Amino acid sequence: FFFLMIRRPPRSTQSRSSAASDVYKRQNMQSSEFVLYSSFRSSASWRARIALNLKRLKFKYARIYPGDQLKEDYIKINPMKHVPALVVGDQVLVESMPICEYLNEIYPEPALLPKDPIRKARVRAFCEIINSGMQPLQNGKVITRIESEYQGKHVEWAKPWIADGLRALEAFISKETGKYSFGDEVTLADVFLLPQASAAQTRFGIDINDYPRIAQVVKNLNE
Amino acid sequence: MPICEYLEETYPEPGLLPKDPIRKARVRAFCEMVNSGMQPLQNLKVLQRIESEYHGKGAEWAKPWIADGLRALEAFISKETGKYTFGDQVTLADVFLIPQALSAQARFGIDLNDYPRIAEVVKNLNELPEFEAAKPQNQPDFEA
Repeated sequence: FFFLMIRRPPRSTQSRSSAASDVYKRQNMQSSEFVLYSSFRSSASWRARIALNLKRLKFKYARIYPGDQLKEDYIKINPMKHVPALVVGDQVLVESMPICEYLNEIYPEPALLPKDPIRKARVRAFCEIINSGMQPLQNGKVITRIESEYQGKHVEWAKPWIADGLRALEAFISKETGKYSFGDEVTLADVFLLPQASAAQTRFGIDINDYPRIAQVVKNLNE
Repeated sequence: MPICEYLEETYPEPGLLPKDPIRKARVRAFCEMVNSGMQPLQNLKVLQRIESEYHGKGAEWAKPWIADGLRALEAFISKETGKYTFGDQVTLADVFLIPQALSAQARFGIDLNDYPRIAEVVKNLNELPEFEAAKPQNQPDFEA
């Protein structure tokens, strides 16, 4: 297996945020063979980071700079040219949903999916509203094409999709109670929600408070 | 995806996902390449906006995404053998492949033979009655 480490002059002197290191120290993380190809700004990579943290799994951070994912070495790792990719021993996993499902299967505690099949399907559906219903329409390569080929503006393009999606998510959990999306335990729904909600606010100027339950859950997750 | 996973959990036979967790993740990843990497970019609401708001043509918009995706799918299963996507048993990967491949041909004029393993798998899947019965032209609401 060809292991790629992309070297560039560092953009800052800090190689890893102290916040992440604190989590590891506090939680007595297991060491593992995991390497995560990630970009700090990729919400899909963000999901994988949250899931790994929740499962208390240390991982090496393989930094992908914009454009690195289009290079031949990375295409061998993930022909979709997306992040994240998770190296597990001599295997590579791609796509954030299967990555999260894998971690949840191999490291069952804390459980990130309900045991009841119907409820589990509901949590997964919430994830997919984000994973396939929202994020693909706002991601870098789509926006690049909207701007270059169609002379569009990325906020004008993406905002309606995201607003529609947030409305759907709010409705989807309108009858739920508890601190998080589906009760008082964190689930994959929260793993997928946080990065999407954050992007909605910071990149597309959406006011999360228009979606009161979502906003409350995000506030709780941020703690 | 959750619907398929629910059916798989509640009705385990025939198994549509491998038992090995890594292999299962690989089949799921193939599904997600279609589910989140390709189809959302070609679906009707997106095409309508491209055409009405951005004065684009739906096919011009969608075709590169689909071609990119098919290239990725072809590469992803290039080392696999057997009649179907991941061997001689049908998996969820095949469930997700057929609608995507057939719409790529029918709606966007893509030649599947540019993707030889995909084309071969599609040919084999098209022989299965379960896949035939699910085709759009066999549905009660089909309109030519």
